[in-house]
Amino acid sequence: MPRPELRQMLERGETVLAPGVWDAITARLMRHLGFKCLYIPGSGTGVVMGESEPLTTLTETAMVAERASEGVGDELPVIVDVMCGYGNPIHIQLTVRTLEDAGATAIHCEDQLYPGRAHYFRGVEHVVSLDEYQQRIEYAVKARRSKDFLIIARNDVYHAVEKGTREDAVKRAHAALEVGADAIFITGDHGVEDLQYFRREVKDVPMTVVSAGPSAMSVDQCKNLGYQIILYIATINASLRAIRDTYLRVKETGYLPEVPQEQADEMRNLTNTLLGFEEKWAVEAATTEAPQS
Amino acid sequence: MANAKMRQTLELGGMVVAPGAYDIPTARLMQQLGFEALYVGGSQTGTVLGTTEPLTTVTQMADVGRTVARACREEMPVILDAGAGFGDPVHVMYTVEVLEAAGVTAIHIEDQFFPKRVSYHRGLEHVVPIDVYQQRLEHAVKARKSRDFLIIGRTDGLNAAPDSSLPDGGSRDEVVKRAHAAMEVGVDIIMPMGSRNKEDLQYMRSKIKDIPLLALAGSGALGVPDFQAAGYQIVIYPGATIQASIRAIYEIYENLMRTGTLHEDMGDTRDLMNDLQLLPEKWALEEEIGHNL
Repeated sequence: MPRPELRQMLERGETVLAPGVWDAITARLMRHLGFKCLYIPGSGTGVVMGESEPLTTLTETAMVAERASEGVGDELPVIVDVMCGYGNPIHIQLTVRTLEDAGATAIHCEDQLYPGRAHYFRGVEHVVSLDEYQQRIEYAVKARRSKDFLIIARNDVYHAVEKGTREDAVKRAHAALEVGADAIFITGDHGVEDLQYFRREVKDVPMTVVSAGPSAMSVDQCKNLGYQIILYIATINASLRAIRDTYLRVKETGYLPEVPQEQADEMRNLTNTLLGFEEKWAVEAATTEAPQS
Repeated sequence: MANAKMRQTLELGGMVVAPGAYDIPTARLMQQLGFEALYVGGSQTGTVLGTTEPLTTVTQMADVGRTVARACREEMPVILDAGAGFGDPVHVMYTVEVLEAAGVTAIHIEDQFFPKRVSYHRGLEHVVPIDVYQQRLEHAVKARKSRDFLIIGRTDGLNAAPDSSLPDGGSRDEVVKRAHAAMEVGVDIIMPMGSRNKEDLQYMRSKIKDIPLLALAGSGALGVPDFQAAGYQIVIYPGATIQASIRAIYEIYENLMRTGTLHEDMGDTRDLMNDLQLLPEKWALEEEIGHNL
């Protein structure tokens, strides 16, 4: 079931930080840190499924969304990247229903060419026509069953091979709003000036931004620019880089890197908390581990 | 299919070093780093799933085993933690059937109680009587189809608490006795749990002869060279992978929550992520058909 909190937070004008996750433990860690929303980026799911975002199926995306949502007892809203919606309007309807069933609260759907291409990762990106894009969003909106399920309309025209301008990006945002999109997400900005322009031209609707890369904006910068939904995509990069560094050391020396005892204890306590060990130990202490009379 | 490489390596007196993996990218990363085997631990899998090991089912373990084996195109033997075998001899036989079909190469089965208890994670361990343990392993050996599928007899007899099935509690001699009972019914490898120093390792090796021994590399200072010097042939990493991941994610996002800024641009992870998704081969194909334009 979609969670009403995301809509409510946006209506109250709050800023929503949505960190990327992909399984129960990453989801639970973010909740523990105090995040109020989770994000399933397509790039991350592409890594987890092993074959990259353009080859990731609706089923895989829904599965990842479901296990993240279930990891926090379905208590946090989850925003899911559904890329192009996995096809034509009939496929997009299935996508919306599948994600709604998987426990997602919002999806972002974009105007890239479907099927997606791996050259997207090299900056070669194609978009469909404005009409085709508008249809995608129109049918996504029609397909949802709960008003708490939000459709975030993303467009990539500004950095596409088709050489869209920022005016084109705004035009696509307006086309999406005409058919009932709940929030707008424009990618490919060249910095603050573009973001200000988009915010000025696209009025009265929450805007979405990604905080990543060397010029990643702070929460306050995003707020000041009027962007309410901040997506963090690089969680899986941090995870895999740390694992690589750990095992590079094993490969080279035969030994794991030393972790200071204090840090090791802190992490063990954190994991015990995330897994609810104390509660489980208490049940056992009262039952299977109770002293024999 | 069990991978014959593991049996062959052991027969030739070689070392098997198996880092922990729990999904496609962690498995593929280890392969790309040059490791030749993988380990799917129960505690780590229970953490990733958010369930804890004692609540993890054989179905979930088989799913992870299959995912990890396929991630490296079944080129790496996968050692998998089958816990206490998931029940009585009939269940143990089913466990072997399911895990062999999942494509893993070796499983370890221990003498803890089934259902397993979470108290194990706070050092309160219990083991079943030696004859119950021996029956488990006897039926595990009987149930396997391929001789390349290896059964590892794990015993937790070192630190077990005194109770009705082991009135005096665990000891080194109990471990040796249980290892011999396991060998009588045809296991391929012995895994004595709880050895924390070189002296323990040497003791086990001197008393448990003519069979490969398995060691765990964990928070202690022992590494592959120490295990090899003590005559152990298999080294597994039950927790280092998920610990590195959780620590890295925690640091970055704890910082974000505190300061509002993401302090890591992850620019240095691009090649890592590209390689894990096998993007270079996909780009080559797209270039052939003009999808790079």
